[in-house]
Amino acid sequence: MSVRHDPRHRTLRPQLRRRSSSARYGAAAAASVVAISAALLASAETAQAAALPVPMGTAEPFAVLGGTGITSTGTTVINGDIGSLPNPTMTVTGSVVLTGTDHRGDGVTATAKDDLTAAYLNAAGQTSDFPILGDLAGQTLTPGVYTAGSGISISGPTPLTLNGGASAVFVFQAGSSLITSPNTSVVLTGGVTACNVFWQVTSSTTLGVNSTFRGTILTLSDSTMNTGATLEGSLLTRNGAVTLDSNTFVRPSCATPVTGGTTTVTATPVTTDTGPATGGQVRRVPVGSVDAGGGGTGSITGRLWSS
Amino acid sequence: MQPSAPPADVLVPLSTSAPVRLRIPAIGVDSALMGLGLQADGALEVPPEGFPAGWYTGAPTPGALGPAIIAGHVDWAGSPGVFFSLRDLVPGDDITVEREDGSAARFRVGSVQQFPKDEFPTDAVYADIDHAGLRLITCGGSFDRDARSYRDNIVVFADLAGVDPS
Repeated sequence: MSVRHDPRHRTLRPQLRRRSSSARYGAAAAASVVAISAALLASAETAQAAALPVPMGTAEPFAVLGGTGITSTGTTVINGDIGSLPNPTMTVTGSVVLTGTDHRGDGVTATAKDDLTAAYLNAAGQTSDFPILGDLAGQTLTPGVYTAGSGISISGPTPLTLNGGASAVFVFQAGSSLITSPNTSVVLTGGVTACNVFWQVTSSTTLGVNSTFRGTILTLSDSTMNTGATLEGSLLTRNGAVTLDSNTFVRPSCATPVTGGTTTVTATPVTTDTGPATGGQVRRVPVGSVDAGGGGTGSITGRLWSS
Repeated sequence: MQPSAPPADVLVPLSTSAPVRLRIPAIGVDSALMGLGLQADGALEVPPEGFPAGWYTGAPTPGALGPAIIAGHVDWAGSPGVFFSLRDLVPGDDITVEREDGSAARFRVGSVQQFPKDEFPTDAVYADIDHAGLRLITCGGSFDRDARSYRDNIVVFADLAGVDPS
Protein backbone atom coordinates (compact mmCIF):
# COMPACT_ATOMS: atom_id res chain seq x y z
CA MET A 1 0.00 0.00 0.00
CA SER A 2 1.37 3.38 -0.95
CA VAL A 3 2.03 6.12 1.52
CA ARG A 4 -0.64 8.77 1.44
CA HIS A 5 0.65 12.21 0.54
CA ASP A 6 -1.05 15.49 1.24
CA PRO A 7 -0.04 17.67 -1.70
CA ARG A 8 -0.73 20.85 0.24
CA HIS A 9 2.10 20.05 2.63
CA ARG A 10 4.38 18.78 -0.09
CA THR A 11 4.45 22.01 -2.06
CA LEU A 12 6.19 23.88 0.74
CA ARG A 13 9.14 21.61 1.27
CA PRO A 14 10.78 21.71 -2.16
CA GLN A 15 10.67 25.50 -2.08
CA LEU A 16 12.35 25.57 1.29
CA ARG A 17 14.98 23.16 0.08
CA ARG A 18 15.59 25.17 -3.03
CA ARG A 19 16.02 28.43 -1.18
CA SER A 20 18.52 26.84 1.15
CA SER A 21 20.47 25.19 -1.64
CA SER A 22 20.58 28.43 -3.59
CA ALA A 23 21.73 30.25 -0.48
CA ARG A 24 24.55 27.77 0.05
CA TYR A 25 25.61 28.26 -3.54
CA GLY A 26 24.99 32.01 -3.56
CA ALA A 27 28.52 33.19 -2.89
CA ALA A 28 30.11 30.71 -5.27
CA ALA A 29 27.59 31.64 -7.95
CA ALA A 30 28.42 35.31 -7.63
CA ALA A 31 32.11 34.51 -7.92
CA SER A 32 31.52 32.43 -11.05
CA VAL A 33 29.52 35.19 -12.69
CA VAL A 34 32.26 37.68 -11.95
CA ALA A 35 34.89 35.28 -13.34
CA ILE A 36 32.94 34.58 -16.52
CA SER A 37 31.50 37.97 -17.03
CA ALA A 38 29.62 37.45 -20.28
CA ALA A 39 28.30 33.99 -19.51
CA LEU A 40 24.78 33.42 -18.36
CA LEU A 41 25.67 30.16 -16.69
CA ALA A 42 28.49 29.04 -14.47
CA SER A 43 31.11 26.98 -16.25
CA ALA A 44 30.72 23.23 -16.05
CA GLU A 45 34.41 22.55 -16.47
CA THR A 46 35.47 22.60 -12.85
CA ALA A 47 32.21 22.08 -10.98
CA GLN A 48 31.19 18.73 -9.56
CA ALA A 49 28.43 17.24 -11.71
CA ALA A 50 26.12 15.62 -9.21
CA ALA A 51 22.86 14.86 -10.99
CA LEU A 52 21.42 11.45 -10.20
CA PRO A 53 18.80 9.65 -12.27
CA VAL A 54 15.40 10.36 -10.78
CA PRO A 55 13.67 7.08 -9.91
CA MET A 56 10.32 7.06 -11.67
CA GLY A 57 8.95 3.78 -10.31
CA THR A 58 5.51 2.95 -11.68
CA ALA A 59 5.27 6.36 -13.34
CA GLU A 60 7.88 5.32 -15.91
CA PRO A 61 5.48 3.86 -18.51
CA PHE A 62 3.37 7.02 -18.56
CA ALA A 63 3.61 9.63 -21.30
CA VAL A 64 0.94 11.77 -19.67
CA LEU A 65 -0.17 12.00 -16.07
CA GLY A 66 -2.62 14.58 -14.82
CA GLY A 67 -4.40 15.62 -11.66
CA THR A 68 -7.53 17.49 -12.65
CA GLY A 69 -7.99 15.95 -16.07
CA ILE A 70 -6.72 15.94 -19.63
CA THR A 71 -7.98 18.07 -22.53
CA SER A 72 -6.92 17.61 -26.12
CA THR A 73 -7.86 19.40 -29.33
CA GLY A 74 -6.80 18.54 -32.85
CA THR A 75 -5.03 15.23 -33.49
CA THR A 76 -2.68 14.30 -30.68
CA VAL A 77 -0.45 11.25 -30.90
CA ILE A 78 0.67 9.72 -27.61
CA ASN A 79 3.15 6.89 -27.19
CA GLY A 80 3.05 5.70 -23.62
CA ASP A 81 0.40 5.25 -20.98
CA ILE A 82 -1.96 7.98 -19.83
CA GLY A 83 -3.67 8.58 -16.52
CA SER A 84 -5.28 11.27 -14.41
CA LEU A 85 -6.35 11.36 -10.78
CA PRO A 86 -8.32 12.57 -8.87
CA ASN A 87 -10.23 13.79 -11.92
CA PRO A 88 -9.99 11.16 -14.66
CA THR A 89 -11.93 13.17 -17.21
CA MET A 90 -10.39 13.40 -20.66
CA THR A 91 -12.11 15.83 -23.00
CA VAL A 92 -11.20 15.25 -26.62
CA THR A 93 -12.13 17.60 -29.43
CA GLY A 94 -10.63 15.91 -32.48
CA SER A 95 -8.79 12.70 -31.70
CA VAL A 96 -6.13 11.19 -29.50
CA VAL A 97 -4.20 8.33 -31.08
CA LEU A 98 -2.91 6.42 -28.09
CA THR A 99 -0.30 3.67 -28.33
CA GLY A 100 -0.28 2.60 -24.73
CA THR A 101 -2.80 1.95 -22.02
CA ASP A 102 -5.42 4.37 -20.77
CA HIS A 103 -5.20 4.07 -16.99
CA ARG A 104 -7.31 7.09 -16.16
CA GLY A 105 -8.80 6.85 -12.68
CA ASP A 106 -7.58 3.31 -11.95
CA GLY A 107 -5.24 1.81 -9.37
CA VAL A 108 -2.25 1.86 -11.73
CA THR A 109 -2.60 5.60 -12.07
CA ALA A 110 -2.98 5.93 -8.31
CA THR A 111 0.35 4.29 -7.57
CA ALA A 112 1.97 6.09 -10.50
CA LYS A 113 0.84 9.42 -9.05
CA ASP A 114 2.38 8.48 -5.71
CA ASP A 115 5.63 7.58 -7.47
CA LEU A 116 5.43 10.85 -9.40
CA THR A 117 5.27 12.72 -6.12
CA ALA A 118 8.33 10.87 -4.91
CA ALA A 119 10.15 11.55 -8.18
CA TYR A 120 9.25 15.23 -8.03
CA LEU A 121 10.63 15.51 -4.50
CA ASN A 122 13.76 13.61 -5.49
CA ALA A 123 14.41 15.99 -8.38
CA ALA A 124 13.63 19.06 -6.27
CA GLY A 125 15.90 17.87 -3.50
CA GLN A 126 19.03 17.14 -5.50
CA THR A 127 21.89 19.45 -4.60
CA SER A 128 22.31 22.21 -7.11
CA ASP A 129 25.45 22.34 -9.27
CA PHE A 130 24.78 25.43 -11.34
CA PRO A 131 22.39 28.37 -11.08
CA ILE A 132 20.34 29.30 -14.13
CA LEU A 133 20.58 33.04 -14.48
CA GLY A 134 18.94 33.64 -17.84
CA ASP A 135 17.24 32.21 -20.90
CA LEU A 136 18.48 28.83 -22.10
CA ALA A 137 18.16 29.30 -25.87
CA GLY A 138 21.46 28.72 -27.60
CA GLN A 139 23.18 27.33 -24.51
CA THR A 140 25.23 24.12 -24.48
CA LEU A 141 25.19 22.45 -21.12
CA THR A 142 27.07 19.55 -19.59
CA PRO A 143 25.60 17.14 -17.03
CA GLY A 144 24.52 18.35 -13.62
CA VAL A 145 21.77 19.87 -11.54
CA TYR A 146 20.69 23.29 -12.83
CA THR A 147 18.61 25.52 -10.60
CA ALA A 148 16.53 28.59 -11.39
CA GLY A 149 15.20 30.59 -8.47
CA SER A 150 12.19 31.51 -10.55
CA GLY A 151 11.30 30.40 -14.07
CA ILE A 152 13.16 28.43 -16.73
CA SER A 153 12.67 29.61 -20.29
CA ILE A 154 13.75 28.88 -23.82
CA SER A 155 12.82 31.98 -25.76
CA GLY A 156 14.75 31.87 -29.02
CA PRO A 157 15.07 29.54 -32.00
CA THR A 158 18.67 28.47 -31.36
CA PRO A 159 18.48 25.07 -29.66
CA LEU A 160 19.34 24.34 -26.07
CA THR A 161 21.94 21.59 -26.41
CA LEU A 162 22.52 19.06 -23.67
CA ASN A 163 25.85 17.36 -24.26
CA GLY A 164 27.34 14.34 -22.55
CA GLY A 165 27.74 10.59 -22.66
CA ALA A 166 25.20 7.80 -22.52
CA SER A 167 25.12 7.90 -18.73
CA ALA A 168 24.96 11.68 -18.44
CA VAL A 169 22.13 12.97 -16.24
CA PHE A 170 20.58 16.43 -16.28
CA VAL A 171 18.19 17.69 -13.59
CA PHE A 172 16.60 21.11 -14.05
CA GLN A 173 14.90 22.72 -11.07
CA ALA A 174 12.52 25.62 -11.72
CA GLY A 175 11.42 27.71 -8.77
CA SER A 176 8.36 28.72 -10.71
CA SER A 177 7.42 27.92 -14.31
CA LEU A 178 8.92 26.24 -17.35
CA ILE A 179 8.04 28.12 -20.53
CA THR A 180 9.32 27.52 -24.04
CA SER A 181 8.50 29.85 -26.91
CA PRO A 182 7.25 28.84 -30.36
CA ASN A 183 9.72 27.06 -32.63
CA THR A 184 12.24 26.42 -29.86
CA SER A 185 14.01 23.11 -29.38
CA VAL A 186 16.11 20.96 -27.09
CA VAL A 187 18.84 18.85 -28.69
CA LEU A 188 20.70 15.96 -27.06
CA THR A 189 24.26 15.31 -28.25
CA GLY A 190 27.10 12.91 -27.48
CA GLY A 191 24.89 10.04 -26.37
CA VAL A 192 22.62 11.83 -23.88
CA THR A 193 19.20 10.17 -23.72
CA ALA A 194 15.86 11.75 -22.91
CA CYS A 195 15.42 9.18 -20.13
CA ASN A 196 18.19 10.94 -18.21
CA VAL A 197 16.87 14.49 -18.56
CA PHE A 198 14.50 15.68 -15.83
CA TRP A 199 12.65 18.95 -15.43
CA GLN A 200 11.18 19.74 -12.01
CA VAL A 201 8.70 22.60 -12.27
CA THR A 202 7.29 24.21 -9.14
CA SER A 203 4.39 25.91 -10.88
CA SER A 204 3.23 25.35 -14.46
CA THR A 205 4.75 24.09 -17.70
CA THR A 206 4.05 25.56 -21.12
CA LEU A 207 5.66 24.24 -24.29
CA GLY A 208 5.43 26.60 -27.24
CA VAL A 209 3.78 26.21 -30.63
CA ASN A 210 5.72 23.79 -32.88
CA SER A 211 8.47 23.48 -30.27
CA THR A 212 10.46 20.33 -29.60
CA PHE A 213 11.26 19.35 -26.05
CA ARG A 214 12.92 16.35 -24.46
CA GLY A 215 12.93 14.67 -21.10
CA THR A 216 10.66 13.85 -18.22
CA ILE A 217 8.75 16.92 -17.09
CA LEU A 218 7.60 16.83 -13.46
CA THR A 219 5.07 19.63 -13.08
CA LEU A 220 3.41 20.59 -9.84
CA SER A 221 0.43 22.53 -11.21
CA ASP A 222 -0.74 22.76 -14.84
CA SER A 223 0.94 21.47 -17.99
CA THR A 224 0.14 22.87 -21.41
CA MET A 225 1.49 21.92 -24.80
CA ASN A 226 0.56 24.47 -27.44
CA THR A 227 -0.33 23.64 -31.03
CA GLY A 228 2.06 21.26 -32.73
CA ALA A 229 4.52 20.95 -29.85
CA THR A 230 6.44 17.68 -29.72
CA LEU A 231 7.80 16.01 -26.61
CA GLU A 232 10.30 13.15 -26.59
CA GLY A 233 9.55 11.89 -23.11
CA SER A 234 6.80 12.39 -20.58
CA LEU A 235 4.56 15.15 -19.27
CA LEU A 236 3.73 14.28 -15.67
CA THR A 237 1.53 16.67 -13.76
CA ARG A 238 0.84 16.32 -10.07
CA ASN A 239 -1.99 18.64 -9.13
CA GLY A 240 -3.19 20.37 -12.26
CA ALA A 241 -4.65 19.81 -15.67
CA VAL A 242 -2.93 18.64 -18.83
CA THR A 243 -3.91 20.63 -21.93
CA LEU A 244 -2.88 19.32 -25.33
CA ASP A 245 -3.31 20.61 -28.89
CA SER A 246 -2.21 18.60 -31.92
CA ASN A 247 0.85 17.31 -30.10
CA THR A 248 3.13 14.33 -30.58
CA PHE A 249 4.60 12.34 -27.71
CA VAL A 250 7.61 10.31 -28.83
CA ARG A 251 8.62 7.44 -26.56
CA PRO A 252 12.40 7.59 -26.08
CA SER A 253 14.18 4.43 -27.24
CA CYS A 254 15.81 4.21 -23.81
CA ALA A 255 12.40 3.91 -22.14
CA THR A 256 10.59 0.62 -21.52
CA PRO A 257 8.54 -0.42 -24.53
CA VAL A 258 4.89 0.53 -24.65
CA THR A 259 2.41 -2.20 -23.81
CA GLY A 260 -1.16 -2.11 -24.90
CA GLY A 261 -2.29 -1.61 -28.45
CA THR A 262 -3.21 1.51 -30.36
CA THR A 263 -6.60 3.05 -29.80
CA THR A 264 -8.10 6.23 -31.10
CA VAL A 265 -10.21 8.36 -28.77
CA THR A 266 -12.48 10.72 -30.63
CA ALA A 267 -14.60 13.54 -29.39
CA THR A 268 -17.09 12.55 -26.75
CA PRO A 269 -20.15 14.67 -27.34
CA VAL A 270 -21.82 16.04 -24.25
CA THR A 271 -25.00 14.05 -23.99
CA THR A 272 -28.11 16.12 -24.42
CA ASP A 273 -30.67 13.33 -24.32
CA THR A 274 -29.79 11.81 -21.01
CA GLY A 275 -32.63 9.83 -19.61
CA PRO A 276 -36.32 10.31 -19.01
CA ALA A 277 -38.19 13.27 -20.36
CA THR A 278 -38.66 15.47 -17.33
CA GLY A 279 -40.48 18.48 -18.68
CA GLY A 280 -37.44 20.50 -17.86
CA GLN A 281 -37.18 21.50 -14.19
CA VAL A 282 -33.76 19.87 -14.45
CA ARG A 283 -32.64 21.28 -17.78
CA ARG A 284 -30.16 18.47 -18.53
CA VAL A 285 -30.52 15.28 -16.55
CA PRO A 286 -27.16 13.89 -15.46
CA VAL A 287 -26.29 10.41 -16.70
CA GLY A 288 -25.94 7.59 -14.22
CA SER A 289 -24.66 7.65 -10.67
CA VAL A 290 -22.58 10.17 -8.72
CA ASP A 291 -18.92 9.49 -7.91
CA ALA A 292 -18.77 11.22 -4.54
CA GLY A 293 -16.21 9.37 -2.51
CA GLY A 294 -12.80 7.76 -2.42
CA GLY A 295 -10.49 10.15 -4.14
CA GLY A 296 -6.76 10.31 -3.52
CA THR A 297 -5.71 6.91 -2.33
CA GLY A 298 -8.95 5.33 -1.35
CA SER A 299 -11.52 4.86 1.34
CA ILE A 300 -11.36 5.31 5.08
CA THR A 301 -13.11 2.07 5.81
CA GLY A 302 -13.85 -0.79 3.53
CA ARG A 303 -17.55 -0.60 4.07
CA LEU A 304 -19.91 2.26 4.76
CA TRP A 305 -23.51 1.57 5.68
CA SER A 306 -25.28 -1.24 4.03
CA SER A 307 -28.95 -1.67 4.76
CA MET B 1 -43.26 9.40 12.98
CA GLN B 2 -42.86 12.52 10.92
CA PRO B 3 -44.85 12.64 7.70
CA SER B 4 -42.65 12.46 4.64
CA ALA B 5 -44.94 14.36 2.27
CA PRO B 6 -45.34 18.14 2.21
CA PRO B 7 -48.14 19.42 4.49
CA ALA B 8 -51.65 19.86 3.10
CA ASP B 9 -51.24 23.63 2.83
CA VAL B 10 -48.69 23.30 0.08
CA LEU B 11 -45.82 25.72 0.52
CA VAL B 12 -45.42 28.10 -2.36
CA PRO B 13 -41.97 27.58 -3.88
CA LEU B 14 -39.50 30.39 -3.64
CA SER B 15 -38.06 32.40 -6.49
CA THR B 16 -34.81 31.43 -8.13
CA SER B 17 -31.78 32.40 -6.07
CA ALA B 18 -28.40 30.71 -5.95
CA PRO B 19 -27.60 28.76 -2.79
CA VAL B 20 -24.65 29.98 -0.77
CA ARG B 21 -24.54 27.79 2.33
CA LEU B 22 -25.81 24.41 3.51
CA ARG B 23 -26.49 23.63 7.15
CA ILE B 24 -27.55 20.26 8.53
CA PRO B 25 -27.43 20.57 12.33
CA ALA B 26 -28.26 16.93 13.04
CA ILE B 27 -24.97 15.80 11.48
CA GLY B 28 -22.86 18.91 11.98
CA VAL B 29 -22.71 19.98 8.35
CA ASP B 30 -22.05 23.68 7.72
CA SER B 31 -20.69 24.08 4.22
CA ALA B 32 -20.25 26.61 1.48
CA LEU B 33 -21.58 25.49 -1.89
CA MET B 34 -19.73 25.42 -5.19
CA GLY B 35 -21.47 25.11 -8.55
CA LEU B 36 -21.38 21.74 -10.31
CA GLY B 37 -22.00 21.09 -13.97
CA LEU B 38 -21.82 17.98 -16.10
CA GLN B 39 -18.72 16.08 -17.10
CA ALA B 40 -18.00 15.39 -20.76
CA ASP B 41 -19.69 11.99 -20.50
CA GLY B 42 -22.87 13.54 -19.05
CA ALA B 43 -22.31 12.45 -15.47
CA LEU B 44 -22.75 14.92 -12.64
CA GLU B 45 -19.59 16.79 -11.72
CA VAL B 46 -18.40 16.42 -8.17
CA PRO B 47 -16.31 18.77 -6.04
CA PRO B 48 -12.56 18.33 -6.53
CA GLU B 49 -11.93 17.54 -2.85
CA GLY B 50 -13.72 16.37 0.29
CA PHE B 51 -15.02 19.86 1.05
CA PRO B 52 -17.16 21.85 0.22
CA ALA B 53 -20.41 20.41 -1.09
CA GLY B 54 -21.70 21.51 -4.47
CA TRP B 55 -25.04 22.20 -6.12
CA TYR B 56 -25.98 21.16 -9.64
CA THR B 57 -26.45 24.38 -11.58
CA GLY B 58 -28.55 22.62 -14.22
CA ALA B 59 -31.28 21.91 -11.67
CA PRO B 60 -33.58 24.34 -9.84
CA THR B 61 -32.03 26.43 -7.08
CA PRO B 62 -32.92 25.02 -3.65
CA GLY B 63 -36.29 26.45 -2.62
CA ALA B 64 -37.58 26.94 -6.16
CA LEU B 65 -40.02 24.57 -7.83
CA GLY B 66 -38.50 21.20 -8.71
CA PRO B 67 -35.72 18.92 -7.50
CA ALA B 68 -32.63 20.78 -6.30
CA ILE B 69 -29.47 18.66 -6.28
CA ILE B 70 -26.56 18.92 -3.84
CA ALA B 71 -23.66 16.44 -3.95
CA GLY B 72 -20.68 15.99 -1.66
CA HIS B 73 -17.98 13.46 -0.92
CA VAL B 74 -18.36 10.87 1.81
CA ASP B 75 -14.60 10.80 2.12
CA TRP B 76 -11.54 11.99 0.28
CA ALA B 77 -7.98 10.71 0.34
CA GLY B 78 -8.49 8.91 3.59
CA SER B 79 -10.30 11.63 5.51
CA PRO B 80 -14.01 12.29 6.07
CA GLY B 81 -15.68 14.43 3.46
CA VAL B 82 -18.46 16.94 3.88
CA PHE B 83 -21.13 14.23 3.63
CA PHE B 84 -19.39 11.60 5.75
CA SER B 85 -22.40 11.38 8.09
CA LEU B 86 -25.15 11.86 5.53
CA ARG B 87 -26.28 8.29 6.06
CA ASP B 88 -27.12 9.11 9.69
CA LEU B 89 -29.97 11.48 8.77
CA VAL B 90 -33.49 10.32 9.60
CA PRO B 91 -36.91 11.44 8.34
CA GLY B 92 -37.86 14.74 9.98
CA ASP B 93 -34.34 16.14 10.24
CA ASP B 94 -33.95 19.72 9.09
CA ILE B 95 -31.77 20.94 6.24
CA THR B 96 -31.29 24.68 5.72
CA VAL B 97 -30.04 26.25 2.52
CA GLU B 98 -29.10 29.92 2.72
CA ARG B 99 -29.69 31.74 -0.54
CA GLU B 100 -28.05 34.66 -2.27
CA ASP B 101 -31.15 36.83 -1.78
CA GLY B 102 -30.76 36.53 1.98
CA SER B 103 -33.58 34.08 2.59
CA ALA B 104 -33.09 30.60 3.98
CA ALA B 105 -35.05 27.62 2.69
CA ARG B 106 -35.70 24.96 5.27
CA PHE B 107 -36.25 21.41 4.07
CA ARG B 108 -37.44 18.38 5.98
CA VAL B 109 -35.91 14.95 5.33
CA GLY B 110 -38.46 12.57 3.91
CA SER B 111 -36.28 9.51 3.36
CA VAL B 112 -32.67 8.34 3.25
CA GLN B 113 -32.07 5.65 0.66
CA GLN B 114 -29.17 3.63 -0.70
CA PHE B 115 -28.90 2.40 -4.27
CA PRO B 116 -26.29 0.42 -6.19
CA LYS B 117 -24.70 2.82 -8.63
CA ASP B 118 -25.72 0.72 -11.59
CA GLU B 119 -29.33 1.05 -10.42
CA PHE B 120 -29.22 4.78 -9.80
CA PRO B 121 -32.83 6.05 -9.63
CA THR B 122 -32.57 8.80 -12.22
CA ASP B 123 -36.32 9.35 -12.33
CA ALA B 124 -36.78 9.59 -8.58
CA VAL B 125 -33.90 12.01 -8.24
CA TYR B 126 -34.26 14.27 -11.30
CA ALA B 127 -37.86 14.06 -12.55
CA ASP B 128 -40.24 17.01 -12.25
CA ILE B 129 -42.14 17.37 -8.99
CA ASP B 130 -45.00 19.61 -7.92
CA HIS B 131 -43.20 21.33 -5.06
CA ALA B 132 -39.74 22.51 -4.02
CA GLY B 133 -37.62 19.47 -3.25
CA LEU B 134 -33.99 18.72 -2.43
CA ARG B 135 -31.80 15.67 -3.01
CA LEU B 136 -28.47 15.28 -1.21
CA ILE B 137 -26.21 12.72 -2.85
CA THR B 138 -23.05 11.00 -1.67
CA CYS B 139 -21.43 7.58 -1.88
CA GLY B 140 -21.82 4.57 0.33
CA GLY B 141 -21.72 0.83 0.51
CA SER B 142 -18.55 -1.14 0.02
CA PHE B 143 -15.48 0.27 -1.73
CA ASP B 144 -14.58 -1.31 -5.05
CA ARG B 145 -10.77 -1.12 -5.11
CA ASP B 146 -10.52 -1.87 -8.81
CA ALA B 147 -12.97 0.83 -9.77
CA ARG B 148 -11.62 3.07 -7.01
CA SER B 149 -15.09 4.11 -6.01
CA TYR B 150 -17.91 3.13 -3.74
CA ARG B 151 -20.50 0.73 -5.08
CA ASP B 152 -23.58 2.64 -3.92
CA ASN B 153 -25.05 6.11 -3.79
CA ILE B 154 -26.83 7.44 -0.72
CA VAL B 155 -29.65 9.84 -1.55
CA VAL B 156 -31.49 11.96 0.98
CA PHE B 157 -34.89 13.11 -0.31
CA ALA B 158 -36.21 16.27 1.35
CA ASP B 159 -39.02 18.73 0.74
CA LEU B 160 -39.43 22.45 1.43
CA ALA B 161 -40.98 22.87 4.89
CA GLY B 162 -40.53 26.57 5.59
CA VAL B 163 -38.72 29.78 4.85
CA ASP B 164 -36.61 31.71 7.30
CA PRO B 165 -36.37 35.38 6.38
CA SER B 166 -32.95 36.99 6.19
